[in-house]
Amino acid sequence: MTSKWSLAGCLLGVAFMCFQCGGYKASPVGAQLFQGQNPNMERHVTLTAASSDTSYRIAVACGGSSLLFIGNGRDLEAWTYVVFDTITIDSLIKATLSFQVRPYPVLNPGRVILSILPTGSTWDETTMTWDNKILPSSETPLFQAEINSADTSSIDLDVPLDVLATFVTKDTLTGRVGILIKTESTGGLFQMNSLEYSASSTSYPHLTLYTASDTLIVSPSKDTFVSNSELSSRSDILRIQDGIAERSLLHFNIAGIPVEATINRAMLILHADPEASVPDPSAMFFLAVSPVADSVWTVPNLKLDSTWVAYGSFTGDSVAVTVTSLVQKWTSQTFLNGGMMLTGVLEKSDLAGRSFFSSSSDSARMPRLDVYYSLAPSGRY
Amino acid sequence: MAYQKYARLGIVILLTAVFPPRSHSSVLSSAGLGLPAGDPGARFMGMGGMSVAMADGQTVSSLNPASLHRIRLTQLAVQVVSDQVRFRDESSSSTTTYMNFNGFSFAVPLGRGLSLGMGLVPRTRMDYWVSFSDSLDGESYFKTVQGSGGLNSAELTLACDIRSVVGFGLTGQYFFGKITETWRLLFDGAQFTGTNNQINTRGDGFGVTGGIIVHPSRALSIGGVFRPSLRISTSTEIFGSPLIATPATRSGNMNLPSFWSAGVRYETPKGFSAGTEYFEEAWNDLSVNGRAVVRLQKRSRLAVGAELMRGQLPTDGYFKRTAFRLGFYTERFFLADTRGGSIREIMGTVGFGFPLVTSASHLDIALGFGRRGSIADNGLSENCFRVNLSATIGEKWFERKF
Repeated sequence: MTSKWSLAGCLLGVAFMCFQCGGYKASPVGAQLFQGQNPNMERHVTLTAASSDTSYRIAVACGGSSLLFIGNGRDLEAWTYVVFDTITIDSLIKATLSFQVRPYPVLNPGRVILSILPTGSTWDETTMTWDNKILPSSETPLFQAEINSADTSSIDLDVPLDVLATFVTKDTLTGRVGILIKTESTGGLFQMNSLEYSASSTSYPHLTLYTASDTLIVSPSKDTFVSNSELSSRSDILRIQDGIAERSLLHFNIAGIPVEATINRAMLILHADPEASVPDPSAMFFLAVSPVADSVWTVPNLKLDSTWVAYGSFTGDSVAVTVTSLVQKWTSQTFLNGGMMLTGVLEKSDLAGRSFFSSSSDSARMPRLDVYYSLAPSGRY
Repeated sequence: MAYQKYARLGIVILLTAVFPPRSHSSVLSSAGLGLPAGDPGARFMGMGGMSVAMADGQTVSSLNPASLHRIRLTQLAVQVVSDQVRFRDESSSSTTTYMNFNGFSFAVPLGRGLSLGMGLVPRTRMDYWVSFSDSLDGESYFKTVQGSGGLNSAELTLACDIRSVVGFGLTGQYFFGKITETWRLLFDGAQFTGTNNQINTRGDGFGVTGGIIVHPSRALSIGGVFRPSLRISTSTEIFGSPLIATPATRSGNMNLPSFWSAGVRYETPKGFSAGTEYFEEAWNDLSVNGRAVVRLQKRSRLAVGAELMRGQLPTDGYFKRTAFRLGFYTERFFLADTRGGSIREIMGTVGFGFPLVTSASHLDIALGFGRRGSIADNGLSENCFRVNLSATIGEKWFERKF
């Protein structure tokens, strides 16, 4: 009898095990109850930039650009400066000043008259700006030439013989001669490769000297350009500009986001001011976002964390750059939240600029950091 | 032959005890520290959970330490519990199944009215898995959360019997446990990254439970038990962002609530007994780092139960030695519904006690059918089928020879 009951117990135990082997799938049942017990585990916050946001220009400016610009269009004027070392040579027959031009997108000037004017050679390509630029030593051009900026082939300008004397000496004395290339023509802008574009190419401005027995290529010793596009005095806008290397700094206070939060999405949203954007507010403008690693902004020598960068583009009046992993690094204290630096991606190869509304603007247009994040259920800690 | 029977029984106990739970309990276990567990035993569950005034030497209650004061044999008891729950809310329903080890106890009579007991008892139980879709400011997401673990107590009990009239018991308890919760979040938007995080909360602390059972007459027993609130120290690891190499840790504490219970039992000379019991546990006092836990409320239960066991002598027939039990309880659940209203739990139970080999060893089975809440009043309901199984081996181990 006892044995039968024990056997019944065994069967019951086996039945229990079979009973519990049935699969179970997670279901939405009880979701309302669970969410009620663990409220606000998913959150969405929109942070506005701190009032310390600012724009600045770095010293290297146009001297480090791989392109040089010449032209005058849509409130954007640019001059190019080039310096050649004088050389000792005899029996010069002919000389040409050569370069390759390309029209600036949307600002094709077509046929323009170039003026080559004499300047000194003492300017510093890292510090010269439109405001402190070296003016030509004479308003009378050394020579002028008409070019078609749409012609992307190499342009060779014959240098008048009387001008050649400034570049060539017949004794062993050496020196430097600077020239300014500009145009009075309006309505367009064109660009040419600079010395920084390629040291192994002669696509940058250069002199070609023909003697009876030889042909010499004379490369410039330095080149740069200046542009009248300057930092705006308006407090309600910030600007990023290629070429003249204007940059902007933003800081967002993320102290309200807990350290253990998982950042599901963070978007930097900027609204452009078309009126203050050059040369074409409708053109796409690429920008880069880099984290600042210092809590104090000591411009222009900012300490950046070079292991992280994000890119975005203004395709209209606004831009949204995904900065999820950066905010995650900030909240998890992997990075110090020193703010973010905005630069033009084509800083050394373009002259476009984009102005956007700052923290001093109205709340609808000021820079925003739109963050979705989630938290652990906090009921147990 | 006796060894074979023991072996068979051992296999059942072992398999049911160690078999890993492959399914899940109710989402209601996601609240607080999980569902309050710590059933007093299958025998008592067969009587609606009534155990506070029970002290007859056959079974030890894990609720009242004074229940040891009448044991005359060494006892070893192992328990298994299984719940099948059909949870419904206003939108849909699902069925969950849970089965696991439900504690063991070991008690030794020391002689001269003293008894010593020890045991391991699950006190809370968390085991849920919920998935659902939701949205946040227009961004829809899919969320899955799983939780498991709970709080257990390792216990050491000393009980004394004074002239078979009054029994006292005092249990020193070491509470320990771990709760693990993982949650995943997947937004529909392409630029979103998902969440796949985990928290592990470990806790431990010491508590004391005191109990008394008075026998004013041979037929009547009155019992009471009280445990003051106690402090649980916690350490939580938060595996949040994958960018953090080491998890964030938080130290804190919880205030585990007090409980008290009182009951009465009347037993006739022919082996019929009946009683009632009131139990109250102040879950509304549960706090985490000083913060009250939302929606928890005082748990209170009123139970009535009866047992019929006409004979206990080895010479009695097997059927005569088999116990039949019946019980019922109504309980105010420890968690309020989403509207803040109380959830009522009612359960009817039947139980059987099958003697094994000797009259002191028995296999107890309790079956419970009940319901928590109602769709109309609470927006949710659970129909529950519960099985408690416990095996108690009673032997004359450590019997005094002098």
